[in-house]
Amino acid sequence: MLTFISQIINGLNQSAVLLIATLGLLIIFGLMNVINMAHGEMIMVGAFVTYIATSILNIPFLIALVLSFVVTALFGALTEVTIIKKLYSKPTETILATYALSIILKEIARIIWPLSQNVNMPFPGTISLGGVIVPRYNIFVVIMAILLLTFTIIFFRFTKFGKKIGAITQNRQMTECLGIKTSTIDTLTFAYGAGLAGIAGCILAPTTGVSYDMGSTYLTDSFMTVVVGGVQSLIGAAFSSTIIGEGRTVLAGVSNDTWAKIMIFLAVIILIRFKPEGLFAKERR
Amino acid sequence: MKSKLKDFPVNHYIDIALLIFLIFFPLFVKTFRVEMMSRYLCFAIFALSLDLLWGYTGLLSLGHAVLFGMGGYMIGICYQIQNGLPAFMTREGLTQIPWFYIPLKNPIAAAAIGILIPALFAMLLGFFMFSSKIKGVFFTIITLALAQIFSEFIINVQKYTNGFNGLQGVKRFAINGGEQLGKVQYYYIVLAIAVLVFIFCLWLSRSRIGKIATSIRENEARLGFFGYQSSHYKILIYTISGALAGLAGVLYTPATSSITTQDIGVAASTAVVVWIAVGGRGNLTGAVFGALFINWAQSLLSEHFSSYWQLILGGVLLAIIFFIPNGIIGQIIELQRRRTVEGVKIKEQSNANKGAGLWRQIFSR
Amino acid sequence: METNLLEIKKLNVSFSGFHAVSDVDLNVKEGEIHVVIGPNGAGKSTLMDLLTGQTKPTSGQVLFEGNNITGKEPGIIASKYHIGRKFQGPNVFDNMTVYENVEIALKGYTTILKALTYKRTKDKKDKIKEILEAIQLFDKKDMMASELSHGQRQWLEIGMVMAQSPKLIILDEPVAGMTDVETYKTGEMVKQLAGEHTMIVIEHDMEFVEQIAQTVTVLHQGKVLAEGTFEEIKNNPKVIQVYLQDENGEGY
Repeated sequence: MLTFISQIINGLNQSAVLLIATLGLLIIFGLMNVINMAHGEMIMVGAFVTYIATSILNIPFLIALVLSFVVTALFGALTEVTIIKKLYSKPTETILATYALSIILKEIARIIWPLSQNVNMPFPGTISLGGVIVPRYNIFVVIMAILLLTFTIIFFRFTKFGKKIGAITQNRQMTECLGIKTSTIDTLTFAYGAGLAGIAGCILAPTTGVSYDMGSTYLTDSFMTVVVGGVQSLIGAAFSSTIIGEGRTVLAGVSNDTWAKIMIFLAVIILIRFKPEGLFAKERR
Repeated sequence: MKSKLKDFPVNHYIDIALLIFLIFFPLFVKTFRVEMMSRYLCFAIFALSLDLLWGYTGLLSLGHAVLFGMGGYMIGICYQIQNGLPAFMTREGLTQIPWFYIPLKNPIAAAAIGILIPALFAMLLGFFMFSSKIKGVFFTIITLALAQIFSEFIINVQKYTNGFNGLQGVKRFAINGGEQLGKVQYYYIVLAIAVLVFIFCLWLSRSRIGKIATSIRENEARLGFFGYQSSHYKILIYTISGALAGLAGVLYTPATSSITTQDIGVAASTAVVVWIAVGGRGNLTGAVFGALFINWAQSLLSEHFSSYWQLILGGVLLAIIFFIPNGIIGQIIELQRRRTVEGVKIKEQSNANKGAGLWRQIFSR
Repeated sequence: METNLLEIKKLNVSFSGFHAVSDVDLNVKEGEIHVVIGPNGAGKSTLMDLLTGQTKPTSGQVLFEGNNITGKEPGIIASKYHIGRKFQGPNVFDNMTVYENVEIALKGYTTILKALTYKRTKDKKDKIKEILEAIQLFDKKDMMASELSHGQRQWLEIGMVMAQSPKLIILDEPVAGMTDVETYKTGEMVKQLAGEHTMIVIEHDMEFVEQIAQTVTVLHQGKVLAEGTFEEIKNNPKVIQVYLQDENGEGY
């Protein structure tokens, strides 16, 4: 029983990481209808920024967290302006171009850092939750996930900028007619999504280490989370990352990691067949 | 006659030139080059299979090497179990050949199964992916996830697949313990099959099925309003594509005498996408040209740049998208088209002057 | 006594409380050109969506040749009941030739088995040629649809609808964005099609409506406002009032 509870708590940590990684993808895909195939590599960029900041420049972790957001967001903005913007309304080309970018980023990272690098654990030690020993850092990760989700929801629902983005999603041409610069908004949205991926990378860095291929599986994992949660639902993403994160941890406890991934994959495919709009889709006209 | 020659699609000249080159190729090079080219011909078949799916039907798969690998592994396993239990199975504690491997003992049966299994797998996955109206990008990412999971799966079930080490010592279709085919002999067999596959793809693309596939790529919703069930066609094309990818794998493993997880995962799936993007999609010639050209370039360059090869591929892909989105062959075809279309337009202008009078009459009624 | 090919009875649809179409009754006689007009947002396109199955009605009935086709799938309505529709704006297969565009639309070869048995026989070639000549694109049959002008693409789509040999053709704003010459030509094409085919046309361009219409139905705020010949509609005070309102910018 105790191992099961510890698995659940462990799974919560995985879910939190998955949610943070998914938020960025969801915003870019749900609002801009762009699949950023380099999403995993943006996570990697955030992780390397954290590595350089904490392990080389000795900057405190929380400042590195902010830095990884800023640097990855700037990088995202650059990507949007140089690649994505030129390929709007060409979905296949966007996929290919961002995929090419992901290969390039990964390979550059591999050439510079062929081996995995370590980042010191910022909040060492453990605490006991009802007999289960939990690393303090895991609690920090879960709190971060909740904070980021809340902040993102407030940002898109209640700020002027967020409402503008909503308007663009509804009707791009109309919004343009109202004198809103959709082009700038696109860049900022993309940058924000990329920045969130950077934060995900930063948060992953102390536990998984930093390596060129650390982001690869996060693209597909995040995408499956989006499929399960529904393309335009932030709350749905929170639920679905919990389901997938917990499901994977529990299944991995029963068999192993690979089989857990296969099970989740099969479940997602069956879901696509019978409920393509996702489990938590808002009803739309 | 002269105008007929001009109308003959330029890519078929390239097809014929390529074929002549490939027929005479073994006469002028060392045997190891012939062996290399056999491998690239398998890649050409593999590229054709993806071109049907992506170039014609508009469904980009980033996990096509999974289907290729299914074919390849069947033949690989076939030659592991020729002389009883292979060492890797013994090491992992198996005492006899698993029952589901027994049909694979005959190389011909293994080849047939190697085509059938990926076809059935594609059909099943297609049924789940295409029956609901989801965006094409879902398919792309699910296939990417498939590629990630599949190689992990093969490594995971080590006692059946020898995991990360892959399967070595595969014979070029030695039957009943006989001699395997000679390298040059095998080359011509692969070439003959490649030509047949090419002709089949050409026939398919020009048939009504092929035109319907193209209309799915162009405007799937419109096709639905003509009473077509586009999902049926997508499943059909994916199944055919799976069978051909499996065939490519079946021929590939004997050509290199081995197959590993390197040949079936994300990197391999990406590679075939790059070949087609460079050659040009949706005209078959581009797929074949891209597969042969890029692999040849890789073999020449990789001595110096082997660790940068993935980086180069990524860069080439990005450059192609921005500078020659049609691919090399696609661009050549486009140039020929534009010339003919401009010819028509000039003729039309001289006709329009005659017609103007008539319209003035109608409107001055 | 002409028979009704299409009967719409008390048709309703509402989207989250908004009545896009309410209690619409409409009869279309065999062989006629029936034009539906009305200000923007009057529910014209929604009404057509209800006929061809893109939208499911909240209540009411659509009878086609006496068969109840209410709420059937678009593909079924197209292939089983032979209702063809040309959508708003050219909606063709861009990177395919003009010839292929029409050929794909030929009726009767939509399932995989049927598609396998398809052969380009003389009948079919003649039929396609006839259509291409009617839409004046025969000399451009090998051009890509993307290389045609806007007007020609509209005609191509009309040709594609003709290739379905539909009993009822729905044309949704067929002359939108056309030059005057093209509009006039389109009108003549449509008149040629009448008789053999029954047609519902949605249009804004009043000159075009006058050129082709046999019966005109005016929709306003999802309801039928008036019905009659073009002359009757033109002089109907209710219709005039609605259109005048629009000009003052209040009707939208």
